[in-house]
Amino acid sequence: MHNTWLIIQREYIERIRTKAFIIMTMLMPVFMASTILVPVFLGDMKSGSTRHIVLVANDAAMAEAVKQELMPRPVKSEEPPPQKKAGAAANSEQPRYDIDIDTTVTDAERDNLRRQISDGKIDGFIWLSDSDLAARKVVYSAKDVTNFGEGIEMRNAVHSAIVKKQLAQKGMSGAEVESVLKPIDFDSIRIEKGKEGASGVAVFLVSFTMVMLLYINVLVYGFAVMRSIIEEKSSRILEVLLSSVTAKQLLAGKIIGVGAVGLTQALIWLAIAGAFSIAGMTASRSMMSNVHIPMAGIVAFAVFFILGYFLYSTMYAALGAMVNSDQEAQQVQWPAMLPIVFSIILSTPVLQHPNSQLAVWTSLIPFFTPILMFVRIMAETPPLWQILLSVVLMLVTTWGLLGLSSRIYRVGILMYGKRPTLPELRKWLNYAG
Amino acid sequence: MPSAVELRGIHKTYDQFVAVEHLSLEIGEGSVYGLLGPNGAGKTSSIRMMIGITIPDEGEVWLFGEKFHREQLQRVGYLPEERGLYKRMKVLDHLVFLGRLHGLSAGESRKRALNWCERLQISDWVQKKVEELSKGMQQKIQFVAALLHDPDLLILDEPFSGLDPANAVMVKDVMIELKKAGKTILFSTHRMDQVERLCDSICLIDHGRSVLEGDLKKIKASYGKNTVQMQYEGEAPFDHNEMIESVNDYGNYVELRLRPGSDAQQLLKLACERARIQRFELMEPSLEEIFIATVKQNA
Repeated sequence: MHNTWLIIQREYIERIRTKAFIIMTMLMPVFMASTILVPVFLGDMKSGSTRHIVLVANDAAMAEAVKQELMPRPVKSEEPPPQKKAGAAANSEQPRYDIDIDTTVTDAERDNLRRQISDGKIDGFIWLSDSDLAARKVVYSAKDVTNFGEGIEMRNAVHSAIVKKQLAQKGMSGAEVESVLKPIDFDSIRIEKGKEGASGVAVFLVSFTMVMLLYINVLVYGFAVMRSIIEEKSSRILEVLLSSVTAKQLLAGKIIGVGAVGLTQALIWLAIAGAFSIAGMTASRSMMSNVHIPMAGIVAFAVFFILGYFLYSTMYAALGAMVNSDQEAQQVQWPAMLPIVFSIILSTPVLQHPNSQLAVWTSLIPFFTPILMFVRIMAETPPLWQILLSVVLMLVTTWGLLGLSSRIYRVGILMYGKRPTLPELRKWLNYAG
Repeated sequence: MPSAVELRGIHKTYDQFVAVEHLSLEIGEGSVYGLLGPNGAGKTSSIRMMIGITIPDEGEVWLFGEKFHREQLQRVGYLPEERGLYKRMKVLDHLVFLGRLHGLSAGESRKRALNWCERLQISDWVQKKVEELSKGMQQKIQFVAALLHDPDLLILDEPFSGLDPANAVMVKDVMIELKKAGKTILFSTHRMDQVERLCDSICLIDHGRSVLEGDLKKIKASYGKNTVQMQYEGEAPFDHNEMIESVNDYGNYVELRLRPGSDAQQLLKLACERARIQRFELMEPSLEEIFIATVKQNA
């Protein structure tokens, strides 16, 4: 125990001190933040520029109504509907669209407008001919139509203009129409033991975080365990160490030591992410304000993350014990990656049907448990015995793998030079040494 | 004299290859023991079994009069043949780590490490990373690592390889000092001159078998005074001759072994006719000669 502790200490301290660790820990949040923020920012910049479009309609009043829908609303009494919230901020500075109305609904005019788009005189046009409106099929032609947000906005504008017009025809007043069309705030909340539990968004977000965090950490630190084992083999310090510790103590110390480094990093990342999202939440009453994570979820997160992490690291250790170089390590690491990729794929059906046969059985397979059982716990509390069983199975598998890899390790170091074939590997496992 | 190490017929095979074949030997407490043999003879394999890195297929290892158990390793210091240290660790941190693995406290390891480093003239380097050091320097550090916990048995696999003469002397002096303090030292080497000067007993291993074992003086005496060392000037003093069994000519120095029954006096006469003889000595064979002859015999 004392020896294992010393190995853990050394691995931990030596790794935490490296520049690579410090840089990675600091850069990752920057990188993640930029992958989220940059597209939003870029999107904003684009929609910030005024686009010149033409509304072509037989009915000038109809065109005017659509124009009104698309133009920024005068800032008054009522709150703007939520889907336009993002746009609203930009609108206060400059109008998003510069809209002309055209009542010449002919094929010649259509060709003319198309030419104008090519010449860059206008950005696009919406064809609102009476016949199209009757068929409820409206076409927006533009040079680029990849901005989905814009498409949805236009569709909503046209749709609400039509609805308003029809309701007005039925004799409703403007205020009545507004109140009928007022959007509804919709959220799904999970009921657990008669109480409200996590919201749908929370389940998704937390599950996603778990998957990504586990994936990144296993990838980085599992491989680090593997490399440090290979390094020791090639530097031959191993012989000195083995003259005072057993192979099992050494491996366990390495896995836990390197593991603790990974956990430290994950904690720092989570703390940064937490600080940002709390700041974000208080700053804007966005959809995030609905996120409600139950305490049990946080505990489950910690438990399954740690267990999963050590299970995979042990697997990497076993693989590292078999090979002699980084190149070889690259080649053999797929058996460790496969289950994690597989459980990411399975997480979607399991999230949708957390109590199906598939979900129950796959979540009990130790290599899938960290992600799938966690997803199930988040989606709908599974029976306690299943949770406990999955934890026990993971512990047993990890312990077994540790024994296995220290045997491979012990024999492997004394047979350097080549990777074992499967029959050789079996012989190694039976080997008394 | 009780034995520090006793191997009882240890045997080890890797697949088809027999690394060590029923090897038995005894190393008396407080002695310096040389393990000799050509490359691949099984020296390192034997040493590994002595300290439980591998376990023999057959036979037993006894340390300090007890059958091997891991707790005994606290009394053993080991310098492996292929040196290995964590490259990116600082020298002092590394020594402290290894000292603690052998049961010392952090403070005690530190104190002893600094003492030894001063003794071996590496004090200026203790705050450097291992990878910044020369090979010889790294080897001295590893030597210190083997000594830190003041072991009763010191096992050194090729302790002098890669050291320049000045450093080799430094290491040798420490070994002598430890011997005087009653420690047992086992070392393997190719360098016969060192064995000859340092060892009380030897074991010569070839192809995993012990071909010659015992007290060095007795072994040499058993070969009798059949060796001539001659220093000369000019042409080689003689061609091949029926009196001579083997010649090892170094240009102005020659070492040769006489056939049984030959007269050294006659050889001297012959040599005088051809060259100026500066020194002529009849003596016991050097260990090197015994080594080569024995290995040839067994090949």
